Amino acid sequence: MVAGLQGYRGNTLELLKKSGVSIGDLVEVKTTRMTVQGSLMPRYEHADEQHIVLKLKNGYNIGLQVNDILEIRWIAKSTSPAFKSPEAPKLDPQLPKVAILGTGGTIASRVDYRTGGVHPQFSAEELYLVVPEIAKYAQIHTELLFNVYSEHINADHWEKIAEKTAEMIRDSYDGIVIAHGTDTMGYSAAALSFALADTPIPIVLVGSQRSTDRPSSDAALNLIGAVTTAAKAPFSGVYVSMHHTIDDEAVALHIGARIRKNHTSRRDAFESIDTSPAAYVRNGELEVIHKDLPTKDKPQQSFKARYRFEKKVALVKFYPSFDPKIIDYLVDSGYRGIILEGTGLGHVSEQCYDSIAWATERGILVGMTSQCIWGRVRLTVYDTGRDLLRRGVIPLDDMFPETALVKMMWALGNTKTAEEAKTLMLQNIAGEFIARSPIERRPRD
Amino acid sequence: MSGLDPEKIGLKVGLEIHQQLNTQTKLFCSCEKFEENDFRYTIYRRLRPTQSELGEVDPAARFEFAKGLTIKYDVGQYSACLVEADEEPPHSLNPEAIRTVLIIALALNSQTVDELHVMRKIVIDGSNTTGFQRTLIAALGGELKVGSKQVGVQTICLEEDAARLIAEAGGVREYSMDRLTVPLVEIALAPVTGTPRDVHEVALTLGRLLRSTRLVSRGLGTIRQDINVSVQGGAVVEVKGVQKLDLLEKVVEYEAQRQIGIIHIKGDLEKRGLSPNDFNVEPIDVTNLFKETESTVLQRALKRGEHIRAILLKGTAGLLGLEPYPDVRLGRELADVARFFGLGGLMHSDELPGYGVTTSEIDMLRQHLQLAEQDGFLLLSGEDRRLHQACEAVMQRMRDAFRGVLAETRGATPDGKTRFIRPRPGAARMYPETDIPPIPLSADLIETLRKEVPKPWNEQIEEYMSKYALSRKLALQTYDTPYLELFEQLTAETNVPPSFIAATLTETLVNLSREGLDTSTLTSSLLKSLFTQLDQGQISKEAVPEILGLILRREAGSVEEAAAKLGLTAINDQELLAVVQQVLVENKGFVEEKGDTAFSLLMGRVMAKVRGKADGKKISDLLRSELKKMLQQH
Repeated sequence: MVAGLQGYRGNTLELLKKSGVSIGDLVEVKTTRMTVQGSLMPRYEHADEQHIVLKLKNGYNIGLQVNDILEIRWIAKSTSPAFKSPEAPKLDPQLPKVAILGTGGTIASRVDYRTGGVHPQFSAEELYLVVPEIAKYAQIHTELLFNVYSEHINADHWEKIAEKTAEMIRDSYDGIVIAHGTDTMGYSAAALSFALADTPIPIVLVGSQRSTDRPSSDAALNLIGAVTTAAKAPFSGVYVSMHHTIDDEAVALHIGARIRKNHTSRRDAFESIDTSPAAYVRNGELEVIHKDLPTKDKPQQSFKARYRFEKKVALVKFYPSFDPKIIDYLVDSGYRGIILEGTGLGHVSEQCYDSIAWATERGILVGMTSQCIWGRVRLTVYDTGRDLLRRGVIPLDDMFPETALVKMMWALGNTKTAEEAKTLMLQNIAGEFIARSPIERRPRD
Repeated sequence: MSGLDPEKIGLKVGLEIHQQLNTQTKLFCSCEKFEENDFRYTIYRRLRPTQSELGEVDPAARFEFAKGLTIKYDVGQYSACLVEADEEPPHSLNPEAIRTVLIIALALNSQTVDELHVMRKIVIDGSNTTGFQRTLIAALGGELKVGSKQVGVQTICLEEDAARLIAEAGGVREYSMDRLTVPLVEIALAPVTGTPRDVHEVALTLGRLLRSTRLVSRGLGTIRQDINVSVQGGAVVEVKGVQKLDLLEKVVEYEAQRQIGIIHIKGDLEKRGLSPNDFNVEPIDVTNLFKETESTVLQRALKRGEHIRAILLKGTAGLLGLEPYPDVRLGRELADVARFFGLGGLMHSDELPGYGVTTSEIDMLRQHLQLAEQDGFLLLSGEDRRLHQACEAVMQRMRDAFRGVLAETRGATPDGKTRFIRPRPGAARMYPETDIPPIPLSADLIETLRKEVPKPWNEQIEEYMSKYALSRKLALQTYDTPYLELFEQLTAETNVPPSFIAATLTETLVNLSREGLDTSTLTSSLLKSLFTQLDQGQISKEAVPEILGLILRREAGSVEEAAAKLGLTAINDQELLAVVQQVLVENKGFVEEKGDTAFSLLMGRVMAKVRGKADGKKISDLLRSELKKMLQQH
């Protein structure tokens, strides 16, 4: 909602105040060169103080230099920018019960008059109303947990989502959809995969790479894919529902602990690492690819989440000339775990050996992953690897760095000792380890 | 104009010109601007209507979505990137395009705005992958001098061009992505009164002013005219896509007649005591009534498993086919809407019996629908979902007939008529482009650009006349061709008389296009080689039209080949044999390695040496036999 004189500052604000006009008003502005009528629009905070913005009758916005303005005359009140919710579709009690939890992100964005960029503005309900077709697949209940871009999401948010989701599982929902910003959706998907391990129902995270205020938004298809899965998948577990390719054709359902955002802007930015998507949704039909997905036959009422996360865990990328003092700093600051993103098969320079030994001797978990993302670490191949093993580094096989980080936060958050946490780190909790390495780089099915 | 006095009917015509800018790259990325037909990728998309900044949904967008189309984009390798594919945010607005549009604004004495705001104009017909066209107002007001008159300028916008429509069939609309985001200037002129001829003059003058900047593209397809036509008592109708200036007058004339006709029909409906509420009826499925029909149209529909529906139109007998002016009928208006929803059209009671529908079938239908003598009806056939949408839309159009002329967007047909495209979009379709921050324009920049405003085009014409010794007519014609720059280059680089070059680039090409040949396919390198060879005495002036004709008929691929065909230069069989044998010797190793399959590469090598001097078939026969001989020796 926009009111008053949002975004205007300095001289311009003074002039507008003096002229007795506010945002949305129809005004006539006389400058040294022209006279124009239009509605006064908000000014973005990052824009300069030198211009006022008018929306002309034809819908175009223009900016006028304040120093050239001779007079601003109020003509009439007119409409302020506001999103209007369409009417809610009717619920069909025969259909499965699906909850959509909103957390923010591009999937829920509209223009933000504070910055001029887009900002998460839709509630989960509004999101639903923008894609009313989903009412065909499920009785939808919507709830807004919070409304932030995913880069602002932290472990506290994960705990909140996990807690709420667990409650809804016990409340006998058939499936749950979580709308999430895409930047850190991979981390959240991993977090929920561990926190809600053994969920008896499908939990589907969904995002979009183009906001819902664009006719070309990928949100509708992704959301239809997510709701279809939540409503009628024969399997349980945590998944991410995003475009399979850049066509508006198929949605891929990725395993939550194996998903990574691999492109800044493409619709198909999310890729399953070293495995194919678990399933696809095309034209509202689910096609299951993985044969060994967890089933839905577990009791819902007694479901318990393990949703605590230890924030004192760091993800450290090794690079040439890396300063081992970075590791020392973490140790001195009370960190309980470090995931190293090593080179190749899982290496760091020998200059780090002492710092790593110093850390593990203090009971800090040090896990090794590879910055190659694809493939697994193997610390027994080269001397360096063996040297690191001897210093207590835990090789994390084919778990890629982000998932390993989240898992260590979770493992330390839900156990009493580092030893217990280490045991959890090496157990396959949510499909984060895959024993077989596929021949294909990006298996499609 | 066919009995209609423009002044009496209050005819007003506003021109909107879209002209491509001759920038190096596209508006929001570094892609090249050219028509690329070697498609490497396809992308399938669907678009949905969204709300404007003010929370409204544009009726045109809603309408388009109702059609449920899939959009297919064909993508080449160089003319589009992730930006066009809507897979990457736009890069910075092309500064060259901004400069160009500002220079044009200054040439039209228009007031530039102080800050540019890129907007999204919602268009969900697939012509933009994003579902909107990016556009901004660069300047307001100004005037264009047309002879002794002044025509007001309303707005000057910088826009991105749309994707190039290739085909539409079976619920899929296909576009090429190459033209998408090519920079365009859109100039909206104030409505003028006067004859359609005056409108033509205005368009021509504005086109020349744009070309005078040397900053815009030339040739067919680089400039498009939309016109806003209204008559007294009507509404403003936007007619899109008038590509040729010659058609402008005809389109204005037809559209004026159509509007007067529609107002007339509205009066008739009211005289009969009818109201929109009379047309809130349920369509009736009559598929079974026509099971045995002899109408080929309906038979075909039935074979496809389609349904046939009838719509009762109370009290309209005789009104549906009433034709106050040629091709102006209520029936045609309704059929346009049906066609818009992917139906072949519709039949109405005033044109039946006809289309193979017999009198007895009509009697049966009238009985089935319980029609009175004064009642009319419509027959529509199509696939169920589409048929349903089309029936709804057709009835809405029938109710709208009581509003007279509708503010809608129509398209110009090649024969100078207009057809319904969609409801006229309103201000509700505009939304700020959040990916691009506003761009302030400094007073200094504007002052610098003011110095780059070109001399008025008529002064440039005078200069042409004296510099090249051209008649006024020839100078003007040359100025209006796509070849102006080529003309200047050729006069500088060759000693061919400028008047001959000018006449060839104008009159000769016009004559050839009158023969039905597409002269737009002539490349500037081909024309350059033509005049170079003329300059060097290899061909004669007299041969020029014939050479061009041969090339345009695709009977020759180059000036040399055409000249050879015309017997101007040719080599004899002995010489040809020598060339073939030489190529074989040069490529001996390759022949030994590949055997027979070496032929196509060798053919290419031979052709490179003798193209245009010998017949292709003769060369290939000779090469084949010589190749055989060589292989046998091994």
